[in-house]
Amino acid sequence: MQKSNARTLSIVIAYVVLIALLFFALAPVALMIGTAFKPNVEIFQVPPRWLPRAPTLSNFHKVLFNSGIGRYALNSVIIATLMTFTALVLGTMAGYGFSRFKFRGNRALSLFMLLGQLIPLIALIVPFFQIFDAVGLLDTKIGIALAHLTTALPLVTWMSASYFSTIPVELDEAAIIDGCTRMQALRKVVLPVALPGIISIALFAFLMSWNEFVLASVLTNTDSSKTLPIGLSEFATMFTVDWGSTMAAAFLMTVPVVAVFLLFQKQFVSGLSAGAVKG
Amino acid sequence: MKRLLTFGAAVLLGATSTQAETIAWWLPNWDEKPARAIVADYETANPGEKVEIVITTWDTMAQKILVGLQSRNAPDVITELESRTLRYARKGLLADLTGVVTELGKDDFVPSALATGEYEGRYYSVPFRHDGAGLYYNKDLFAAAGLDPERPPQTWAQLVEYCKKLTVTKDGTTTQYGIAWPLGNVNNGVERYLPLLYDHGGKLFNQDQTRFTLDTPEAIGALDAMANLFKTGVAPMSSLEVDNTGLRELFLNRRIAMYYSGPFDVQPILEAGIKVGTGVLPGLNGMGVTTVDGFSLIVPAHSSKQKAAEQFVAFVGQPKNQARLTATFPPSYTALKYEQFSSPYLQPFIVQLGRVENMPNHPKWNELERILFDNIQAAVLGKKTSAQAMADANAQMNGSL
Amino acid sequence: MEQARPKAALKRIRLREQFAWMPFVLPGVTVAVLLTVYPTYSVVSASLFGDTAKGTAFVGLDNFAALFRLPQMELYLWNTFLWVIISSTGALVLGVIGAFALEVRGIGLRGLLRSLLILPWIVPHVAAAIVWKWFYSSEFGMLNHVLQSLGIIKRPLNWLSDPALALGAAAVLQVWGTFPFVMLMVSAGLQSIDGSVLDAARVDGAGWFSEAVHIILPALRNVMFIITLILVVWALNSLIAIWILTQGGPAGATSTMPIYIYSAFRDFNLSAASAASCLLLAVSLVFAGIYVLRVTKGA
Repeated sequence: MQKSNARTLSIVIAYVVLIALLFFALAPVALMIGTAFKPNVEIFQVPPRWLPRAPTLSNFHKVLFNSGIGRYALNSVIIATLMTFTALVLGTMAGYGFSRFKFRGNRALSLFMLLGQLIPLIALIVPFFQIFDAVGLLDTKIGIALAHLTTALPLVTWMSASYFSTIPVELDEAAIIDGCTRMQALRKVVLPVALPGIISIALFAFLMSWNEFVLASVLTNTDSSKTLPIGLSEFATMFTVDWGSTMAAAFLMTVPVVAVFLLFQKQFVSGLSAGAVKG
Repeated sequence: MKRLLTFGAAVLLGATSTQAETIAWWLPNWDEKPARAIVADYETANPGEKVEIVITTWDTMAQKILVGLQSRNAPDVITELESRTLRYARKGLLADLTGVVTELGKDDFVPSALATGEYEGRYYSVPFRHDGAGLYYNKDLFAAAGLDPERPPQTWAQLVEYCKKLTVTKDGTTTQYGIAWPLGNVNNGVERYLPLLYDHGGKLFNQDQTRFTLDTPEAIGALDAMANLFKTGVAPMSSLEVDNTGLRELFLNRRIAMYYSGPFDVQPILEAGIKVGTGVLPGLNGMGVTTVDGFSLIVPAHSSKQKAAEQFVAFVGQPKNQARLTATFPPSYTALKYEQFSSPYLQPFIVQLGRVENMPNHPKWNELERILFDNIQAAVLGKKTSAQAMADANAQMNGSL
Repeated sequence: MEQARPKAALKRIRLREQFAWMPFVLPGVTVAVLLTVYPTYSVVSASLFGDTAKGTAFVGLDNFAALFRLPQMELYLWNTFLWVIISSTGALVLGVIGAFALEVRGIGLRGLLRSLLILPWIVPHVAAAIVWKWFYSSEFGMLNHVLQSLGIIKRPLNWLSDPALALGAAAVLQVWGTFPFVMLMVSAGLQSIDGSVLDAARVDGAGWFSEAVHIILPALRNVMFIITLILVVWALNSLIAIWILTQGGPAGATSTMPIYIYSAFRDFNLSAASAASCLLLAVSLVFAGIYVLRVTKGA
């Protein structure tokens, strides 16, 4: 009896917390979406309104048919996917290595790996430009993907290492006793258990590339490599900003990522707590 | 045999097509339409020459050009802000375009425009757009305040008086202010203080730019003039949140009755249906000073196609093409007389071009103007007196040299 | 001779285990090293060279000395410190609370809630910062409008133009954009905690609080460390949020190190920009060092 009361209370508290967080998280997003549907004259009206008085699709029309955004979206998808995949393969393997083996130089290597993420991005612009210029990777998708990989790989490695460290070593050992190699143990046993973590890490790496502006602004020139955030800046000139289209484009950039994440929700609840490997 | 012939023909064709030179031109997105038209004309007039356009944006152009020039990997022709070109020229990163300027006729250029690319007697840029600020005011709000909608303030004293009349307070909250300033943006904010400084007879530096001279009565007086508008409540504190674009939004929503901006605001204001008037900047004694800036074509020193680039720049630099490409005014006296610049809204801006100063081009200007900006804000907020703010700015800026 | 054989076999097995980490770790490390070696070298060396009378030359630590001589440097460092502390703590607290609330048994539509709550992290940063700027505007801002109509404040507050409020207001944007990351990472970590341990604790009558403190957080120790590290590094290097909201103002109230680095970079003063970057790198490395020590000690 008491227990179920406590249960109800905790559910109520959790809902209150979640609703408060939802307000905080979504209010600006709501304003963004509202603005995307507003005609220009309404955007800076006093008092402000969440919803447009005379909703319009012209901003979306402009983004979809009068801008290079389609091309940029394709570039962004290719760059971010390529980069995320590479970072995941290399990063989870290295993360597994760091979390499961003790070896000399472990600490030094770990620290060294983090370097790429620790240097302020602005400082990386010039060196990247110089390298890519030398090897002919300026204004190419591979170039941007490599630049993004530099900042993403260290963290992907370290985040996966930290997830693997929450998973009992006994799991791998059992698998090895059953005749698996280490690599198979990682692939067949550890990765499935760590799947929620891996999804989060993949999202992390993907977004790092998807939203990155500073490096891409200098390393891209033409439609063959320009990414979405660069496209977003094309709705502004020196003295005017097309706010409605900017927000519409930002909205269009957000939706597919959320949609894909929503699709992965089943996988998010796997691992030990779901009892997959329990007993 | 036949195959061999086709092969030979292909080789020949290939050889002729490499003779034609393709140059690359970086330009900002707002110039794209006229630029493509000019390129098309150029390619027709010069068969075999090709110009490839690469689009930059306001948010990306500064760092792209900077890194490209410094790393010796930039296109053959670049559109760049006038006030940034001299910094590249000093470092030897730009090709000498004196020949082109002479060919186009030095005397046809507004001197302040040419000066933005002049270093040690040589010209390193060909300007095609050049403008300064003017005063914008809302005629309806003028009429409502009992002011003559056809007569904007002529002197600073009048501006202050008008501001008081144009400030409207309801139930203790001000619903309409006389004027506002773009003090939420470093470049824009400093660009509005400097004209006041010059109008008060002050100077930013000494002759050779080794010492700042901002602790002078003139510099303090200029800041006082601006800060007093805030102290007396005729300018809103939200000035510290807006840049030039945000300022225009305040004007369009009738939160302010007057503001300073360049000629490019005429179009968006008319489109929003505001009854707008324009005037020259009110100064201490009649017309004040404006800073001027604009855009030029530059050719990187490392470009391997100097000749072709120069030929193209000379084409774009012709008065008629300047007039097509500029989003405001061309710096050519010939072109300024064209019909397209005769709109009554634009006349005060042209008159104002008679009293101008160029933007500073000190190599560390981004770092330095930030200090000036911080202190202007501090004075406006009332955290420092104008004298304190300018003394601090002067000491800190000299300390950073 | 007879004994040598098993010894050799043992040695071989040990040798194999001794090198077993290599195929896992080396590919990633090699790629990371290849990608970072030149940029790191370039930044560090640029910080040690500078313009002298004889052209660009080695100047030792002069660039760093010059950095600390800058009159505004004290303010920049102090603002950076406050900014990192406020925004990282805020994101950690909100993220952990959010993750725990999502995991309470009996909460419905969990996947949808989770997907909605991570939106701030997904929205393009530039667009998000612009929206927040409107949100805070003292002229047409939604925040003042809502607070006034609820009767919480009487007059509009100058969120971005009052030096006392601006840094906090900007930090809220940083928290908003990063808390979903914390929430997701902790949430994922909670999934990998053995449910039977929790059940056992509940049978023992442990309340949710002691459950959180004694079982969950220790189990997630490594995850929490890496999250904190990432938050600190993000905050240390974050430019866009402040640049769009205030450009470092009012009166320098939000001027942080990245703002300085950006100004120096735009002057192509690579010596100063690199020296300041190395300074941030050093601070990040201290955090990273602590993290690596803690993690490897526990292993």
